[in-house]
Amino acid sequence: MKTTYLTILLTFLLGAVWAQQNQVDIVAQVFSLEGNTPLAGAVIKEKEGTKTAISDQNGRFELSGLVPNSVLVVSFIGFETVELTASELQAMEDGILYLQNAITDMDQVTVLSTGYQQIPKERATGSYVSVDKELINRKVSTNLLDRLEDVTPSLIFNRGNRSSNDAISIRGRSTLFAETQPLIVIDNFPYDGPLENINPNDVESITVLRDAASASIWGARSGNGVIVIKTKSGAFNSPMNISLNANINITEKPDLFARPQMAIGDFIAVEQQLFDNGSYNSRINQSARPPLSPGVEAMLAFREGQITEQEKNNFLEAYNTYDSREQLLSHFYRPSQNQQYSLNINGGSAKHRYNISLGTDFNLHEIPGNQDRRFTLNSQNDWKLLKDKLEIGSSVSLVQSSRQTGNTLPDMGPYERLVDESGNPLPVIRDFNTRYVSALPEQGFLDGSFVPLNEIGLISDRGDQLDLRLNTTLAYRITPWIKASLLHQYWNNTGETRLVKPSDSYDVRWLINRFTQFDDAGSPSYPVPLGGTLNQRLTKSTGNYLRGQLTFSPSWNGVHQLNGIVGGEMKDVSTLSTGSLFYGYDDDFGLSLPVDYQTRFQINPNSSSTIPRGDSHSGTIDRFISLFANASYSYQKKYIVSASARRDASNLFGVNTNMRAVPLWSAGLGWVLSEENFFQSGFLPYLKLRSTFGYNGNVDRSTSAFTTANYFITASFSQNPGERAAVIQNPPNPDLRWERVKMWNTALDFSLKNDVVDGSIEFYIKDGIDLIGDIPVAPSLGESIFRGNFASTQTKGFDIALNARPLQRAIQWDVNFFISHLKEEVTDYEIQPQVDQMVSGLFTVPVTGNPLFGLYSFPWGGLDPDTGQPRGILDDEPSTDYRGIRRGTSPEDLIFHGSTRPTSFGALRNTLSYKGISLSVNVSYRLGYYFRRNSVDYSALLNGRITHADFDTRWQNAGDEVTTSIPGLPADLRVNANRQFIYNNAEVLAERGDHIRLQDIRLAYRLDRGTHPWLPFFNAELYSYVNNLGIIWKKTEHDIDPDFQNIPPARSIAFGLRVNF
Amino acid sequence: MRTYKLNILLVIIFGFSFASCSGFLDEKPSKTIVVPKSVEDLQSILNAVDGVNISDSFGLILSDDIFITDDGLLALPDNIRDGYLWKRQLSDAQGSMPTWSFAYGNIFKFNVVLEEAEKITPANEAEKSQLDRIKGAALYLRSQNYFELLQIFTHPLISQADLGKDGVPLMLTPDFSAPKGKSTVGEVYDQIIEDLIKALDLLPEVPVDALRPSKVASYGLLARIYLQLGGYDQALNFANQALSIKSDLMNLNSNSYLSNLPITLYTYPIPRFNEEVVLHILAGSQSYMYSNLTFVNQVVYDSYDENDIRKYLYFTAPDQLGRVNFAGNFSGEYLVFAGITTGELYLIKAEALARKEREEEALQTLNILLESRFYEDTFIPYTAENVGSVLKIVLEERRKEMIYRGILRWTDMRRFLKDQNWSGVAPRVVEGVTYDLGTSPENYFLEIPLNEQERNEAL
Repeated sequence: MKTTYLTILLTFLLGAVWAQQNQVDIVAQVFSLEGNTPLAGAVIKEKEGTKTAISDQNGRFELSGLVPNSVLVVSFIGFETVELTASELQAMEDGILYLQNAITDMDQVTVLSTGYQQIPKERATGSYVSVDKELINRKVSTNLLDRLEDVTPSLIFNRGNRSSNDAISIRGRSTLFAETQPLIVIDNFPYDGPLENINPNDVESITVLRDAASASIWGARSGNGVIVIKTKSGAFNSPMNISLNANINITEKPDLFARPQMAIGDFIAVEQQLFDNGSYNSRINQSARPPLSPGVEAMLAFREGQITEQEKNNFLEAYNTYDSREQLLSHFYRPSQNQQYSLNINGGSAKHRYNISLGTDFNLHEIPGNQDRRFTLNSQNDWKLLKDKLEIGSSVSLVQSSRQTGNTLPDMGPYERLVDESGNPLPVIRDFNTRYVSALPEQGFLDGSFVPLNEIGLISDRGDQLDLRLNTTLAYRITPWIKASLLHQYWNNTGETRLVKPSDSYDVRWLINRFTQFDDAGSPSYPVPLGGTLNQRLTKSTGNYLRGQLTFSPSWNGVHQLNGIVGGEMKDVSTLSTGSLFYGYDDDFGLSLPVDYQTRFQINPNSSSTIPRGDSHSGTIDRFISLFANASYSYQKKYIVSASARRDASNLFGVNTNMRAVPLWSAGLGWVLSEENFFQSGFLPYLKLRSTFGYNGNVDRSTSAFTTANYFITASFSQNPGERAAVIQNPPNPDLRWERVKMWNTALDFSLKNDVVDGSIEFYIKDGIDLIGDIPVAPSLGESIFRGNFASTQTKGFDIALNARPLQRAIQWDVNFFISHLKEEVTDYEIQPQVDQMVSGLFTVPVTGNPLFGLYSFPWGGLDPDTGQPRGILDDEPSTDYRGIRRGTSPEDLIFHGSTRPTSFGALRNTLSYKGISLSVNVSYRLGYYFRRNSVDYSALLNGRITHADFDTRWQNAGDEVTTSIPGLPADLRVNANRQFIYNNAEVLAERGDHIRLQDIRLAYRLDRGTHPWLPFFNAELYSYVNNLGIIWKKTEHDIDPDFQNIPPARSIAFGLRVNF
Repeated sequence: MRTYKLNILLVIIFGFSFASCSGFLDEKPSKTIVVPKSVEDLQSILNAVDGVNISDSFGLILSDDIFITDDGLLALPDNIRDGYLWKRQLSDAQGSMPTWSFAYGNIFKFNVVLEEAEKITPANEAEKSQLDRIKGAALYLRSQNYFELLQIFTHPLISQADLGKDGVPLMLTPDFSAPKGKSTVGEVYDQIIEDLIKALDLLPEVPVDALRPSKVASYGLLARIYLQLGGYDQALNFANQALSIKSDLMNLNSNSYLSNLPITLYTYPIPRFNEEVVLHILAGSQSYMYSNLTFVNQVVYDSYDENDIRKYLYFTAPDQLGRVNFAGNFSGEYLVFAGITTGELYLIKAEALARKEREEEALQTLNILLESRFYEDTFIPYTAENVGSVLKIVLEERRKEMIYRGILRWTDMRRFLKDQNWSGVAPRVVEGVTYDLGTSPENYFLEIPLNEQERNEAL
């Protein structure tokens, strides 16, 4: 099998040579003069006749039966229209007709890709955002998706609570518990692998599908929007183009001091108070030997008479001068460094075009020893055969990546150190107290100390991945206006992770010590054998995607034009993975030892357990069969009607066959007002109104129509470890359906005279219906909540994108601005929300009438003037009955501040260019949302953990409550979880998140052969990119970053060079 | 020609999508997922013992086995705190309560197992006996859950009339379409006993291991139930039946126990699956059970004889105030054991005999157990001469042996309401306020959880 791939690969790489034939018919291509790229959707029309053609994605068009001297009009929006005779066109070298940009701007020519077809923007009714190569290349990053941030209207990168499984949203979130992420399509097919595999340098354009008309062609997976990525391809009849790109990006060490922390001296003083009142006594004597800070150990040693008071004080004074954050910054962290190199070669003859891209990335992480690499290879070849009626395309994409992340950041107490004064590595307290750890060797155990600096480089956590995509396309033009195509993609992703912990690593010593047994003579035996451990995981995914499609584009009488596709596709993706854990592993010889998984051992220092197993197996199969159709009809280029329909069926478990399928459809209208005779505005040369309606779908794989059970092997702590067991997953639900998103979109596209300003304004209403949600049911049925199609949401919003060109002389000034505003609401959800979950922000708590992610607070009753303790409100009175408040507050009593996700966001990008120098500055903003500020946490402090710097301004004496809302240290030094919960979630800590950020600056210098004829290359660009410059305005008065309260994203600077030969 | 070409293409394009629809989409999406149907599937559901071999978690907080300090109570969930204060309606934002929802969750599983088991025709004798064991186990476990639901949520049985009082919904099939109303207490007991008798025919004499129900366990549970019903003849009969199969007792005098003394916090000296365990069932885990601020009722602790090994083995060494935490879980860990032991069988037998005024036999039975509980050669056997009331002695010994066994003390507190000279348990004092449970039967059961009341129209 492997050899086959290799052969195919080599064939494609070397396939750049192909015999040429002379042409007979008028077949030509339309290219842009500036970009030397094909123009799709250019209209070629007989001036005195009815024949019309539209160029395809290669800029290619065909006209037959023409009188040689008939005049053809070639037009394309944003370009100067050209008139020439048929014979002139035929005589043209290479058959390429170059159109000149009407105005030199890259954004003008937009071909929208849906993954099924290419649609010229003026013929679209749906809502698309197109991100071109120029914009993709503006940023410097390893990952592709990062490049979309702050340049894509409607698309937001979520931050804060609950955003980890919800990284990106397009026009809000219209689901509660099902899939939240947009569908990613690469070159016609959904991509099921990790997105880190896509090299941004290989990408030609990205189209974001936002509404029903654009996305519903993707059916059951389109509910969260679709991101269509088109990779680079060559062009027919174009010379070889070689481009090189190299850059290096350096990121500062993280700012550990951004999180305000109380003074270490104050912290030690609190530790002393706690020690004196006996708070540590139970921990000192506990059989689990829990860790104690160095300060508490010193206090204990003094109490036990092992050191004098003077010695204890010397220790504490020394601790006061230490700071683990400084230690981490100077002895652990390093600036991270990303390098990126890519080479791209493309071109084509009349019958063949090709593109080959090579790329490599090498990233050194901020933690020493951790790094990753990525190597990408893309090769694409297309041939024309049988008088250009048959097109064969073939492409290979290969990604090989590896990472090494065995080193982890030590979790340190606030005044612990990594090294002593003379630079020797020091142990750091971890699982047990130092007295227990230091006594281990003499008791016959292995050394149990944890020295972070000695650990660096010991553990190897290596991940390797190979990702292969093979695409084959066959397209046959049956008649001039019907094309049949067959597309296939084979995808294979294999991954291996190997976590090797050698015998001298802390983790292994800890594990061996845990299980060490002593016989009556006191000699040890090792149920977990001496030696290292190997944790291995192999994953293999294989996918086959097949699509058959008919594309038809008849036009008649010069005024009617129909464009449509109809087809079917199937998808079959399976994933298998196996994990295993070996003990007593020696990496030098590749040997491991068997262990006894059955016996329950007494483990040290207390409790009992069997030896943990690390075996796992899983397998999933994802299958779809779909039928789709899409058509648009335009009359006189003025009126456009579009419609699409799709039916999906999947192997969604346990659903009756007829219930598996979900029909989804859309319809749209477009009206180019500026083409109307009555509309003659010199000021507004282009105006188009469009409106769409339809349904998108979304998949939830966690539910089923039948009673299902899930098999597992019982865990080592189980009563019957290592036995095959099954747990009932869900009760039967014969009415289960897929989620749907109903969407209205109405938009206006316009451009002002001379394209000084162009843009679009879009309004939409998105209704999530039949959403998977829970309803309460009588617990005697066996479950107290039941999951099914019970919820709905609504999102209303608008997106405005404006592009202005105020100056277009020697100095060019471009302004790009967008704002996305949305109002999200859960419209139907029956489960009564729980107050605790609503305020904590850690759960997804749908509340009817509010956004899915809202900030709720307990009403604030100020500080108690006598004790400085926080007060909530109970029965309309300030109260310190914390339990009573938690119990007595109903969801209606809570204060709802607003959404925790921005309700308006966008960016303003200014680009100034002068003689090859260009400066681009992007300012992003997020408005209309709330977050909860961190503050002092006495539950943490009184448990011996350092807390927030608000401690400095806490209530200390009666009267302080006038000037501060920060509670005083509880006089009894006792933890009261309810009190802390009320304060943590009180109204007084809610803040507006609104802010404006100077996101990045790009400075570039471009050298062109046009202006410097002596250059050995076509053009070159030297660029520098600075990212995460900081906040320039924020609503909150506090000195914190609303989106990154703990560690803000570090500044980075990149330098790069891009050369085209 | 053109049409012909078109047709071929159309066939190619659509052919695959229709042809393969049926089988292609029937593949299950994940290896581990299954619609339970086979013997192995059903066995596997019962094998998930961490969720299945579970007993109620509220009986212990309602009982006077424990004493929680004011500080300890502060850290506990509201409904547990309410339980400790003997409120009949527990507060909870969602109106839910683990004993109810967890028991019915498990009953649903057992109903799935029982319904699917009926559909299977065993292929051979081995499969038939496995299927019998599965059915027997599901019946046993379902009965245990219903028995415990009755103990928490229904009026205690003082007179015959109480059998006609409101019971709990009796769910006997995995029907998810509509909830059911309450059966009477008597109907639920009838079902429980019928199921357990049925299980006797299906289960093996001795268990495959301590986690699987057996005939001994069924006899034991029947004896426990008849004790509650006041059917002392049957209780005696079933206890005898059980003891005739299994009567092992631990030897606490062995070094493996004594070397652990004194017991420190969070060490548990009694091994799990020991020879006395008839069926290993754990009380649903709640933090109050193993909090270091939950102490053993001092009166009970003080009642142990100085030579009684249990005084040192069941409890941590007393703290400065003389308080002790419980360490004697038969689970060998912090989880509270609530299953059946041979010790309980001896005690049921002794009590039934005492109540039937066969006092000599009662004391003989008791002495067998106690002999194993005392330091070697220190136990002076009870005789009719050296005790006053035999029943009182038996009940005192039951108190000492069966402390901290989940719901068990609560069930005793309920059934003692029938006894003439029972004066109830000591009141609780929390933050200076006194809470008295009294002896009115109306105080001895909880309201059905609010969420059930709100959502079950049939109730």
